[in-house]
Amino acid sequence: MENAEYDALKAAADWIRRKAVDMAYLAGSHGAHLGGSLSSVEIYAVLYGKALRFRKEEPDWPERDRFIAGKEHGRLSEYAAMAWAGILEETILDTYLEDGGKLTGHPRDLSLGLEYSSCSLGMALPVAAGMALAAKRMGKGHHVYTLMGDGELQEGSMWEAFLCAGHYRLDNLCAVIDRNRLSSDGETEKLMALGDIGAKLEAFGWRCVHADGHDVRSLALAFERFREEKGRPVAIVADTVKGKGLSFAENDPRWHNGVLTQELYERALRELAGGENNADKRAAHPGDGQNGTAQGILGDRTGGSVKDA
Amino acid sequence: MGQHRAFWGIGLEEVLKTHENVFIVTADLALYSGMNRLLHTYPERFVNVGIQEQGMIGAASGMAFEGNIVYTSTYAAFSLARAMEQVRNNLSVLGANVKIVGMCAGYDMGPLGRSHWATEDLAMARCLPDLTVLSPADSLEAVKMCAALADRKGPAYVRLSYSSNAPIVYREDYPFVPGRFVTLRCGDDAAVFATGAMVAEALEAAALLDERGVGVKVFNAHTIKPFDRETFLSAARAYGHLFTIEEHNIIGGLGSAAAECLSEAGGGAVLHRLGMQDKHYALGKREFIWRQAGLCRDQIAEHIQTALLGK
Repeated sequence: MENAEYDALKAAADWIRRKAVDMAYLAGSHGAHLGGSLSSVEIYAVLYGKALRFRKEEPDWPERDRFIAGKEHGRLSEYAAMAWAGILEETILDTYLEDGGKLTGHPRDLSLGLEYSSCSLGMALPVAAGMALAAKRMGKGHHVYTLMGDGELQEGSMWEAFLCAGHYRLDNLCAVIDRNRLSSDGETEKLMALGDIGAKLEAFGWRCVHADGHDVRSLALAFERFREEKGRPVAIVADTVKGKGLSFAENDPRWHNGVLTQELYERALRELAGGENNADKRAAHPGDGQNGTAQGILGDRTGGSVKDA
Repeated sequence: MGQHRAFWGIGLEEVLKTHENVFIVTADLALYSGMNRLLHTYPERFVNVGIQEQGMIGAASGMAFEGNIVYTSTYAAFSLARAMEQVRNNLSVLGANVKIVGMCAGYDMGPLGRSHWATEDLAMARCLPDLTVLSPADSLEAVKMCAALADRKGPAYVRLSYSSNAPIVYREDYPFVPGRFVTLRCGDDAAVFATGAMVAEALEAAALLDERGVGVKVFNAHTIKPFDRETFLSAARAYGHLFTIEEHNIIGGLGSAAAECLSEAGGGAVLHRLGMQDKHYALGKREFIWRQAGLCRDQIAEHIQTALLGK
């Protein structure tokens, strides 16, 4: 990955993280799923900045890659990433909790680029598998991506879909697992151990790729592995930290859904600024791409060390 | 012939010929469903997900979101009960164009036991907004429903009641219109609304009553939702006693729909709900269970006659 691309994705992640914190503050006493949103910031940055093919002016472009959000708890980052990518108007982010709002409750709205309504765990992967299967049967070349929390893997419906996607060799399907090791009640490995997710999925006929979920380079390489894989769906197990970026929230299950007070919000902003002038990170957005796709915006990956991430 | 072999083997073959965007997803019941020929003729339209109902509805929904019409096939006992949340979120809330076909509904699977009976599926389907809920009386109607659903946008649940030897209700062709009950027999003393397997029984009961000088009008309530309020309330104005007959709990199905409709309209007639009387019955063949629930033709006739005498 060229340095310019790395810098752009890193800046995107910074912008998304800041925006997610803003939205969590906006939620007030209602509380927000801040922990799981912050663990998936870099994943969303690389998804919308590098992996997904889309047209921001035509969200329902038939040849777009499908992104099926399975992790409701990452919604803040998802919306922020879509705003960063230019699919959503930035101003609409402020309305994500309004009664009757276009983003409220995570609707399915192709005109907004929202492919599927998540909110309930265990729902998305089976649908993503069906979409990938349909693409195969219909001779379409687009890819289907889905993001899930690791706790979500405790749902039985997920394993039905893992089995199905492996059986039908859906190599157009990429499942990213946000492995932050925490769910609402605490550590996944103490509550209902998931163990070696990679080994489990390999046994189900998937290729499993591990990535550092907070390193955009590592994530970009993992998506590269997906694109070159033939004959198997690919799972990217992204090791992450719940609440990443805020010292008071990191690895604390209470931030699964927490209230960001004004005091904490101000502290969060100071931490995110990192002592530097927290300039508008949007300035780092590279602007329109030549062919209207995210890959066009940021350019194809041309170099970088190839490691078995 | 059973209803599901008619639905899949005859009805769907026609649909596949005329619609390029139709897919079938089954949960290990292709052969049982009677899809043998389709498997060979249209292998690319066919997906078997194995024994998984949540995965079946999930995958079918994903395929439907890509602009396809998707029919799913499994037993009525499992199709909704196992995958209710997927049905709610993907079909009802998001409108996935999936037609869920539940086979062997009611007590069709008698000796296999309560796990395989479906006496609550109509209730589950009815309470989900935007689902069309159908229950054919015989195999011809099942074929007609299969075709009608392809051109009716939106999710649906079809309840097939006879795995084999479905009695013939329609000896001649007739126009099937979703949401519009069909008058099968006329009579002046009482009106009966039957659905699924109970339509043929209701007709037999009406014949028995005819011999006793009691005239019964019999409607085929093939669409549970949207409920045909107009036809039902018209009958409520004309008859003092109305009967609903279904191979389903009297809670949540046809009888409930009729009771809701009648009470909201201010009543007028007395409504008798025949069906599973909200209790479990001893295991055995279908007729053995019907006998306990009071659903055999002679019992239906007796029930109607007693009710009329008591007025």
